[in-house]
Order: sequence, then C-alpha cells, then structure tokens
Amino acid sequence: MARYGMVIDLHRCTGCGACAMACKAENGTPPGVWWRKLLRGEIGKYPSSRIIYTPLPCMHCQNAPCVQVCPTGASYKRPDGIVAVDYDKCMGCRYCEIACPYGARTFLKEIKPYYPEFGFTPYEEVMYKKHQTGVVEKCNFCLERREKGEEPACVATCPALAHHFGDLDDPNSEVSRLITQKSGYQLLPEMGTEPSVYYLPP
Amino acid sequence: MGLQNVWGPLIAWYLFLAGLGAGAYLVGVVADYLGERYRPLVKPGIYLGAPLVAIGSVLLLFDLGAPLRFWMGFLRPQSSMISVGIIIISVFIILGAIHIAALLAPRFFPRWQLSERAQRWLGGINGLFALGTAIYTGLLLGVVKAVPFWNTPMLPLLFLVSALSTGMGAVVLVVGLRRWVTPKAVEAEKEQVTESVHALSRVDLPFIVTELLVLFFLVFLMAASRTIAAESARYLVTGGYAVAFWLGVVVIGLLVPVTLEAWSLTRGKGLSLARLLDLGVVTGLCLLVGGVILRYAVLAAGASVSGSL
Repeated sequence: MARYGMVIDLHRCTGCGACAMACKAENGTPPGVWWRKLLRGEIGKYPSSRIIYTPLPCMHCQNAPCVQVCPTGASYKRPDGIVAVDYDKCMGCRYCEIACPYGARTFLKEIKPYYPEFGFTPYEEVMYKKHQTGVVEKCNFCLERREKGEEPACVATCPALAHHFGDLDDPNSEVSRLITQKSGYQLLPEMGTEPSVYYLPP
Repeated sequence: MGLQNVWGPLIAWYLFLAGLGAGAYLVGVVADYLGERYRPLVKPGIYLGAPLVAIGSVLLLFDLGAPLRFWMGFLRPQSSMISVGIIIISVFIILGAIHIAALLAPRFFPRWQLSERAQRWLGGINGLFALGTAIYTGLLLGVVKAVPFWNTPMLPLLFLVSALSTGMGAVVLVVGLRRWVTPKAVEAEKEQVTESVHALSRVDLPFIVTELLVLFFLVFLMAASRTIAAESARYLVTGGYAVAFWLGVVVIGLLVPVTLEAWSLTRGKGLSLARLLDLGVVTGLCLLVGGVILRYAVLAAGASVSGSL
C-alpha cells in the first residue's frame, strides 16, 4: 500500500500564498479556516539574515496524535497514509486540536459568508455543504482530487514548483528521491509523530 | 486571551468540579470507615460527590461542538483519555447516586435499608472511581505531548492533590454552614463536629503544603526548560495571568487556608465551636476559589509547540 506524502522545497518557496488560496478554492473552507497556513520566519542574523516561508498543511503523521486522542474514531488513518476526519462521528470535543503539535486543525464554530453584506455567494452555497459546524476539520490531501488521480490543489497550483506529491513507500518515487538527495527533514521530529510531509532546506 | 484558547472556561469548571466532587466523596467515605468520631463529615461528602461531578459533566457536554453525539464517546473504550474518563466518571456518578439514594431511602421508606456492610463496600468501590476521576482530570492534560507545560507527572499530581484538598474544603464549608441552618443539631453533636473539623485541618495542611511545593516545582522547572513551556511559566508568574496566579491561586487558594488551618489547630480547644466553624467556612471558600482559578490558569497557560514553528 502506498503512503502518500509531500515534499515542500523551502528554497524554491517564494511565500506567494497561492497554495493556501488554491486550498481554499478547492475545499471551500469558510472564513477563519485554513487547512494550509503559511508561516513567515527569519533565519540567520542581520545583515546576513533572510525571510523564509513555511507552508503548513496537515503532516499526515504515521503516529498521529490526533487519531490517538480521538474518543469517537472520527479522526482516522487511511491505509494510504492519509489522516482524515469523518464529520458525522465527530462530537467536537477538540482534544485533537489540542494534541496536534502542528496546529493543523480548526474547529468550525459557525459558517459565515465572506461578504456578509451580500449573503452567501452561489459558490459558497455549494461548497459549504461539504462542511459541518461544531466539528474539527483539516487538510486531507484533497481526497476528492485523489480519487480522480489528481494531485492535491496546493501541489498542482504552486507556481514556484516547490511542491511534490507522491508515495513515500516507493524508494524510486520523486518524493523519496528528493528527500534522500536533498536531505529532506520533518518538522518537530522530537514529537515522535513521523510526519509524511518533508521539507527541503531553505 | 490565554496562550491556549481551544479549551476555555467550561472545561476549567469541568476539571474543577470533577476533582472537587471526587475529593468530597473520598472525604465522606474515609470518614465513614474511620467510625463514629467523624460522622459529621460522612453525609456532606457523599451528598456533594456525585452531584458536583454530574454538574461538571453537563458543562463538558455544553462545551462539545456536537453535544448530541456525546454517546459516541462511549463506543471506543481505552482509545483516548476522554473515553477512559467518561467511563470512569459515568460509573462514579451512577454509583454515587445509588449511595445517596441508599442514605436517603430509610427516611422515606423505613424498610429499605442497605446494610452497613453493603454501604461500606459501595463506598470503597466507588471511592476507587472517585480517585480515578480526580486522577483523570490531570491525566487528560498530562498526556498531551504538544503542550510541554502539561506533559509532566507534576500536573496530574497537582490536580490530584488539589482535588482532595478542595474536596475537604467543600466538606468543611458545608459542615460550617450547617450551624446557620440547624444550629441545635450541630450543638448536639458538638464534640464530634469539633473533632471532625480539626481532623480535616490536620489532613488538609500537609496537602496544601504539598500542593505549594508541586506548583513551585512545576513552574520553576518549566521556566528553566528550553521549550515553549517556559512561556507558560512566565505567563503565570510575571505575564498576563500573574495577578490571578499570585493572588487567586497562591494567596487566596493556598496561603490563606493553610494559615487559617494552622491557626485553628494551634488554638485547639480554646476556640469556640462557632468561631471554629466560621473559620472553616472561610477556609473552605478560599480553597474553592483557589481551585477554580488554578484550573483556569493551567488551561490558559497551556502553550502548544505549534506556536514555536
């Protein structure tokens, strides 16, 4: 079985935010919900310092703390390595939100339109049907696109070609080769979560 | 706005009430085992136990995003600390309610009398669930690796000691307030009441001292850690929560009660019953206030490692 993962090349990332917007467009997440965030940080010391951007999707951890703390089984690990949420089983206790070391999860308290003065747009009417209030949601590597054999929206959109998606279990896949050749690393390895998202050094 | 905003006031009250009810119940059961001398503590403890935990559980229910799905939490026992917790708490509330019914029944139906032996057994078994409830409130936070300020054995210990201490506070508060409701009954068992209140002070004193030490160790070690938990400690000691922490948790919740208890013990028999009981009421109130603020403070200070990314 495959174990889907992502490689994000921080050297190529320009911080344009297209991935975060593509994610919003694809998944129709309501205001305040970001399945993919973009962190801005600084490395080095002035005058030789520079700004780096870190796109932050769900890490789809092998040892996912969110799955471990979920009392109802709403958060689960699929055989293909993707961590998903079954909204109909979620009781909204938000333990997973606390347990996730990457801040990948958002509790959807209420669904508001982006432009309150105009009400819900036709696009929002369609997309918000996929969401439920009172539950926790997060990135699922674009499950619907996966079923059509397409890459996640963020990967397909990235204009800097900083994103790669593939099977980490296959040593010959592009992602596996990038990780070994360009010394890919995971975020917060000390948490023991074994993320499926790797970063290439900035 | 604290360093942690996922779990707010309702969870703080839930953790407090669950610990408080469990602690009060344990006081009642232990007093029952120790015999006639501590009779005045038995009923207040047992009557407070299950209802307080039940109120806390209702608050938890209100905090859920989808409260009607709460039953799904029972479907996967031992999958999560929450699953374990709601099972322990449910058993405690049910057995605690049966215990209360057993104590009340003879008043209305003289023939329904649970034997002393059976009641002791019930109290002993449910005492274990009470202990489990108090420990669970700490472990719930303690197992969260992403929040280093919680992820230490000191946190469940702090919550356990606080649960037992606030439980004693609630019982002494009720015993003290009884003087205003049924003064004659209290006067009639003057010796036992005096003995009981003194005993509570004697037991609670080392608990408060322990709590102070554990709290000091927790904050000190976390401040010295090179993790985001240092932020948590700073937030409590000198940061946005400093006033509530020092005044609410340390002074009102711990230093005032420990002083009052020590004072009432040194005065001993020299204190009139009325003074002793009023002192108990003040001590109890302080312990409760401190207990609530402690839960608020620990929750609010729970900075996640995600903030260090």
